[in-house]
Amino acid sequence: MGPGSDNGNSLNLVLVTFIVAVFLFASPFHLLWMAPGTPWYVPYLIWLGVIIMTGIVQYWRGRHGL
Amino acid sequence: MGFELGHLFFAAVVYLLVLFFIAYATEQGWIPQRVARHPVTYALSLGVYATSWTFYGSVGFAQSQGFNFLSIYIGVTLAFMLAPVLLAPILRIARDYQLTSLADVLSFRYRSQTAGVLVTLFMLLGTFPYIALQILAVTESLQILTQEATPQVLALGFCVTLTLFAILFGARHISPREKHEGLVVAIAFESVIKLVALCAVGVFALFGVFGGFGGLGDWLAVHPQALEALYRPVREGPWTTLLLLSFCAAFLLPRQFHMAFTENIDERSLWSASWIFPLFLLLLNLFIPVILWAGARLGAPTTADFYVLGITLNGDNRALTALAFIGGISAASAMMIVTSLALATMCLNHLVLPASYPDPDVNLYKWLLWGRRTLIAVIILAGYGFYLVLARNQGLVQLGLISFVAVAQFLPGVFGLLFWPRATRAGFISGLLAGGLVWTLTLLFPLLESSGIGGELLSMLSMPAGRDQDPWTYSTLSSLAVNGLLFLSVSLLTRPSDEEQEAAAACCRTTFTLPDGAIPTASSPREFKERLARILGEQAADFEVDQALRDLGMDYDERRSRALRQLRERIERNLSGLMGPMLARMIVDERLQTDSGARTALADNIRFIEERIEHSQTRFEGAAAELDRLRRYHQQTLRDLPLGVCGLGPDRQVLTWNLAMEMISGVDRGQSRGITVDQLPAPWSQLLLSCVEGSEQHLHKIETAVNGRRRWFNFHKAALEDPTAPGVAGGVVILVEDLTDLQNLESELAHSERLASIGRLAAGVAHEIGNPVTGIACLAQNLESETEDNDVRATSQQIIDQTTRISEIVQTLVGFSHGGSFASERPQMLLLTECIQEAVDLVHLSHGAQQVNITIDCPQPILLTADRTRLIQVFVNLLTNACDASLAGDTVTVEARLADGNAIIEVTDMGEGMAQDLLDQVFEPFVTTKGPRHGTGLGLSVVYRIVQDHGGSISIDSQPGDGTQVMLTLPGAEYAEALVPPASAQSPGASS
Repeated sequence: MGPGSDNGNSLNLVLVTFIVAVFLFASPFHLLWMAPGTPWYVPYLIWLGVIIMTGIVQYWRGRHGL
Repeated sequence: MGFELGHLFFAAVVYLLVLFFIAYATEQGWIPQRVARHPVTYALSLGVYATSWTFYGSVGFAQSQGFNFLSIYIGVTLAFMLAPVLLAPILRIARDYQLTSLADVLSFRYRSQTAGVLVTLFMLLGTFPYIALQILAVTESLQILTQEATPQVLALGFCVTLTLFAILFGARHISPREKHEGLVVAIAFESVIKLVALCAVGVFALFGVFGGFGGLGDWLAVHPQALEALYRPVREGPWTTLLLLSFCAAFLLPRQFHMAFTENIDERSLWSASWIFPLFLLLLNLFIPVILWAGARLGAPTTADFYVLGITLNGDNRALTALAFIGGISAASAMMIVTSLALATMCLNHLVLPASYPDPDVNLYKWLLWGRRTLIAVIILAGYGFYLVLARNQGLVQLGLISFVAVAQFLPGVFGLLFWPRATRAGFISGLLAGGLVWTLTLLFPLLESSGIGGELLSMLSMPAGRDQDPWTYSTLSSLAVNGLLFLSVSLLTRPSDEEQEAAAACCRTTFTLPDGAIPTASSPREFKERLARILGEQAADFEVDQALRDLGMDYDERRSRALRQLRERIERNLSGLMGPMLARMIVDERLQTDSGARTALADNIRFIEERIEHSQTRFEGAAAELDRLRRYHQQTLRDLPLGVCGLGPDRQVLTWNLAMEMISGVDRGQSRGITVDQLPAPWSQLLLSCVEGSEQHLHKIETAVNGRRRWFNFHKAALEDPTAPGVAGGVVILVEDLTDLQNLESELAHSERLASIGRLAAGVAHEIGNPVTGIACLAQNLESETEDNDVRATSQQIIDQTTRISEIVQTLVGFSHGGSFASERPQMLLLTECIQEAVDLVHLSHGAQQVNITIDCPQPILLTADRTRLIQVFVNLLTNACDASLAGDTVTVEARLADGNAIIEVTDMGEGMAQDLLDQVFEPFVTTKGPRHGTGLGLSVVYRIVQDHGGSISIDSQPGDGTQVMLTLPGAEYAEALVPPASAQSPGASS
């Protein structure tokens, strides 16, 4: 696999992660985890999950020299 | 628990001094560069995003809008997730074209000074409420802590102090294009202080107020409405709108743009920041709900906006209160310093310089420096003015969000910058004007109106949101919709100019636009300086041209048209970093005009395409990636071909110059490419020109001198057809084959063949002459012994002498035919010094009458594997020649040493030396400088053959009148330290 396809894959991965985050935060889905009775720290946990996901993607990009 | 106003002000000033010391220590190198340039430092410096709004206002925002306050930071997380797609391209454009602000970037993309002016004005207008917010937060916090009304003069004092610090931080250097590592570290430090302060207050709220997680859980169980108050607004409020606004603000706010792009040193830091910065924001906001609930539980004596201070006032926590106050100062000062720096550069480039460019006699750098300093002061004081006119009932978040909606108006322009080359300046300007107008009518005017400014007129013009509408959603959607629609429609209705298309291609990188290839009319860097001095002044012109030459690694005497064009582009980029892209282009266009008639054409285009492809190598996918791999394979094949390849364009410019060609010619690829063939150094210009102009396709064994050495080459040429225009000549490719080694081998072989034939002839002649001469000698001896006549005896003796001489010549001939040895021995280990000494003794015997000193200099005994008899023959022949060439009293030196396992023996005399033409044939048989009765001319031929038989080499260095030095190199030698003591002897001898 050449650098071009690595870069393409990594950008795809970035976009997929972004879409997942948009789905979590900016779609009606966010009303589910903002429903009454949800513990107060849940939004932070979801946010942290997205940050970890971003970190993993960037780690993968770094390992492939991108 | 009250604080003294003076103490608090003193604490703030001390904190700012610490901050300045950190910046100063970084610039002095006291803080290591690995810390200053660490990705974590860079990510923390982006924490300038968190201002007083975050530090104080988030709690108030959480109270009124619940978890909507998180959207202000989650939007940033989303923006940084797209760092490789969204932020990295902006960073590359800013870095490549030395653009220091968003106004620079947009005016560069749309090639419009008007765009730059509009962006700057709108940015200023949008930022004043934000600066006012910081001043408001600081004065309110002072009021809370001192329990007394804060005098306005103290707010002014705070602004003046910050102005001084902003100048010290960012306007000490002459050029704004320099990176401020000190500023980055100081702002990162401020982020740490904010985080520590807010977390300390949060931990106090959790454990000091609620007694831990259990207490908090119990309190929430009793007050379920507190939790519901956090979630409900998200279901009803402007969550998505705020996400969009913070997404834009993450990189479009002046301070964010400055820290993320202008101060960025390494692109990879951006990748780390894409998760470290959101993590920092998460930690910063982690305790906001807890602080809110703690404030509610304690009934803190402040509004929710200042619960961060209010809850610490409840109890004896003076240290914590002071820490919280410093955290607030930190949040406000970071924002005001960075924002004022960024805006000052923007105003200077797009408002001040176009309106009043300084006279060339004025020192431009000092003018710019003082201009920036003045603008920093003006901007902060204008923010203070805005603070004065605002009603105190404005919430912190409201003021911040007004700025967010303002910068969101640049989003369509940025979309055109990165993804839509068809976008035009008319579309951008019309969209921005319309979006700005809607923002003014829906947010700015209502804000001023609510502060009692503007009276009836403003009231008529204001278009605030309705009672049931969310003002942020209303304003954001209406302004962005109008802006975006106009941007799209006007762009589609207008045609981008050539300049815009060129800029769009540079920014989008979706298409390659070939450079126009126009050559500057100035023919040298000196002329560049002279022309630029008329507008920049001499000092600035000198500095800028020298800087551009340094950046490009060019010499001051550069004359190549392609190089001068690059120099012109570089100067434009550097000036862009100094005074903005539009002014830089105007200066360069006006002072460094190009000759549109002259073109560097094909060579430049090929080079340009190569550079662009190399730059984009990781962006290719699919078929393009495969084609790129194929291109690289062919390029590598051509580069590593063991034949020199020189490709010439139709205008005889050198396009290809491979590795072998570099080695053959000694001319570097970088020097040769782009110049015409007649500009190549000698003899290559003549050689290649004769090849190109000649009718022959192949030129064989062309002899030439390269660096004083004789070389032989074959030249093969082929005409190329332009691949894009069949039938049109595209240039010539020449293959250069170096035959020098082959030619030398052939000469060696011919020489050996000649020696062998002469040897065979000599053996035959010696045999045929030897027998009759022996007979003559016998008869002469008989005659001498049988007669008493003295005359006859004398004659007989002469006959015997002559036959002896004939015999000696015959023996020499026989010796030569046998390779210098009559009785060849097997090679054996021998002491080199002993051989030399034996040869010296023999030479003394034969040259006894001539007073020549022979000195042997061999510091350490050397062991050698060789045929002893033949080796002695070598030294005898060399010493005999040396003695023959010397005068009485001269010294012949024999030096021997070891080098890399070879014995190096040098025989040096002080004789008359030899001319070069004689040196060239001195190893040929029967070549001699001696008289007919004194030498056969076979001595050196024999030496040559014996040395070759031993696998060694021989060379002669001689100048007429300067003596001769013969150097032998014999392999298989080593030191024999344990055998004998070092030999160094001097032997006076007598010559024959």
